[in-house]
Amino acid sequence: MSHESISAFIDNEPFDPRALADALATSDGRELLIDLIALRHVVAADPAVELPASHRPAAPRWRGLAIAATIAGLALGGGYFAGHRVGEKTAVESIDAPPAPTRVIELTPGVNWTPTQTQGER
Amino acid sequence: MADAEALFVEHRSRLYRYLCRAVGHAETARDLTQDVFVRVTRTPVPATNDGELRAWLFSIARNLALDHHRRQQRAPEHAAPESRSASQDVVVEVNQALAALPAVDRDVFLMREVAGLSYDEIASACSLTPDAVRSRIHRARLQLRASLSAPIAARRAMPLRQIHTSHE
Repeated sequence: MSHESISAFIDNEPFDPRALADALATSDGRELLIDLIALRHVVAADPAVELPASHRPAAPRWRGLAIAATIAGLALGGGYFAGHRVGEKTAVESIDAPPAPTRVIELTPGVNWTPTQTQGER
Repeated sequence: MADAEALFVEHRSRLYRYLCRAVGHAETARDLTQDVFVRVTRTPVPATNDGELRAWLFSIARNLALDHHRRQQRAPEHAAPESRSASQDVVVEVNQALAALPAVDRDVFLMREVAGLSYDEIASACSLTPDAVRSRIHRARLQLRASLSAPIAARRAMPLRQIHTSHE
């Protein structure tokens, strides 16, 4: 006897009452009924089964990559644009004002600061 | 035509529970649940009754789970052994027992037992007849009864109540 009627019964599906009565008339059938209900408890008991409440239907994984690529593109573009602007500003400043001195040479009046040619030197 | 997101939100817990057991890994199940959502948003939702919509959703989930299994067979992941609690041991034991089932038997069993689909809905999702679904579910139960005898015996030592995995 296949006892399929027991499975149909616990699944709330249509079943043949005569077949179920016959199945439950045997100790094997009764044991099977209890085992299948216990099996349902065993399969249902899973700590990892509940989806977190905050878990919304999120964007697919490729969308995260697309967002990261967009941010990287904006950062590169922004860096280029900022650098370009600074370069322009520096160029304008170089026209309006002389460059800052990098070395100061003091000239003392009366002192010949130019190199002189000593005798014997050609 | 049903709203795809509303349809998904209504069934996402069932889909996730089914996928959790089908692939045996919670994080993968979350990803695949999202993939179901992506597929649903890209495909015209068939204008039909609720039962056939459920079957349609689960056929998408089933195909994604099968694709995942195929990828796993090509490049199996080697999970590092880790310490587990007794309840986690049972989870692993259940997952191993499910993995030992023929793929179709496992799917029909999970769609019934975890997702609560009717035999007709499962038949539609898996391209089977309702009678074939009935036989496969019962066969899967008998195999699981044998392979999970220890946790079943432990559970029988406690008071039981009928769990209705309603498909209404």
